[in-house]
Amino acid sequence: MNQQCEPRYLREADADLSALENRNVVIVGYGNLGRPLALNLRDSGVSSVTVAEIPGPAWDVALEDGFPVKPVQAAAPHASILFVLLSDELAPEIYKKEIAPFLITGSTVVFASGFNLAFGKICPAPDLDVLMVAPRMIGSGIREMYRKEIGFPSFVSLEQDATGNGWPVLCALAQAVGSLRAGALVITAVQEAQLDLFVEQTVGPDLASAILTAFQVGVDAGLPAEALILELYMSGEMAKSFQAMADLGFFQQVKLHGFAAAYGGMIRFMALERESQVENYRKVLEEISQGAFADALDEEVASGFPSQSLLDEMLDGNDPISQAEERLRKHMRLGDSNKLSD
Amino acid sequence: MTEEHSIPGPEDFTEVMRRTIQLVGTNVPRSSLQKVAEMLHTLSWEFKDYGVKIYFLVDDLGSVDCATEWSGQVDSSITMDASTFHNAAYGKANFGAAMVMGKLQVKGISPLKLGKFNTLLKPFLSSYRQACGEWYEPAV
Repeated sequence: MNQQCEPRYLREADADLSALENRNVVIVGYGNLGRPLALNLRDSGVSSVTVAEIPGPAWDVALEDGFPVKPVQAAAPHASILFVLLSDELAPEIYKKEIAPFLITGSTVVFASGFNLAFGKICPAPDLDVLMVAPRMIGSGIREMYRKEIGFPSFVSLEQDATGNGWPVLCALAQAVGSLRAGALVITAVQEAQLDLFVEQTVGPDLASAILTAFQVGVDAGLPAEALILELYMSGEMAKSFQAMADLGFFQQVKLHGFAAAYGGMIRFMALERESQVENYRKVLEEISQGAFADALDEEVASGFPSQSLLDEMLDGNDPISQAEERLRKHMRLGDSNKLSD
Repeated sequence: MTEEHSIPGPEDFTEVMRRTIQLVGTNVPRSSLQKVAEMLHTLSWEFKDYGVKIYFLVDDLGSVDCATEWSGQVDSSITMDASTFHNAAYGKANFGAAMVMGKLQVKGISPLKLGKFNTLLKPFLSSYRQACGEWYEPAV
């Protein structure tokens, strides 16, 4: 695999969609990512897009969207560009059995996540071009930003260039899926995987913990549960603050708040003990980069997902915060901005 | 789900938990317990509302023992109210939601081993139900 040391930015001017002419694109997996990417490709003028799926709801949706749909093994031999848009934990087995044996020499395999390439779970044959186009956006946002002609950022990479033609195809694909209007940053699959997992496993749980703890402490102190979740996230103010970080800057957005908010936040931030957090984050990154997390995920899959039941219990809505959300939604019109669109 | 019993009082609860741990030792396959022993040898169950602490001990061969006092090293601990544990055993609460709401804390387990650890929790619940059944309806 190529190692690209210098970060590089891609913009629309770097892309020439003619690199995709006469190339059959196969989208393996018509889920959260597969559907918006397939729709965007088609709307960008990529004429031959086939969806590869198993019979079921996703297959039906792809048909309703007007795509030809085939089983993976039937679609793969006809792919000159094949997107692997499966969940990280399931992709290796499907790639090994249903994709790799059927790919033709010189075809291009595209991943939307660096995970399986980074940790050696998928090792594409040397006669293939291997690309990564990894949107930094949830699936519904990919479609929405494309339709609004805003685009969305991506991490992109040319991981393997067997044909010598990988770069123009990478640029054209990043453009056709709708990313380059915003721009893309070139990093390696290894870096993408580390970044993705690192933030998911540090900032993600800390944010969740902060919100849940604030809810718990507030309710225990007699604050109304509905008011707490409205303040914490349901009003959308928090989301707007995050958007302002992107628009104005991480620190500049603080100026949008009043002095009392900034002062209170500053003194509480200064009082935080961050050494243990630094230590924990370093450990998490080390476990990710050394492959320990990927190995644990492998074991979880091989053991039949023993953690799934605990995760289901956490997410089943049988908790005070979900119940407060339900009560609040009955009385207030909230969250419409998050509704998924085509 | 077996017939629901009311939660025993603090002293009786200790005895029911002691029996629960014994039953885990017989209900869970030895090979599974050996895997647990790769992760921990001493697990402290701490029930805050009852002020009860009871230790699950497992050796490398998968033999299980129980103690109400322990001066050796404690590898891991689970802290919650007895009522949370009792309700989880009878399907009126679950550990996942209790964790989310801060009513259940697990310490001393590497996050990368939590999948394995989770497999141990359910046998504790079923064994507790069995122990409650024996406590309230002793065989004659």
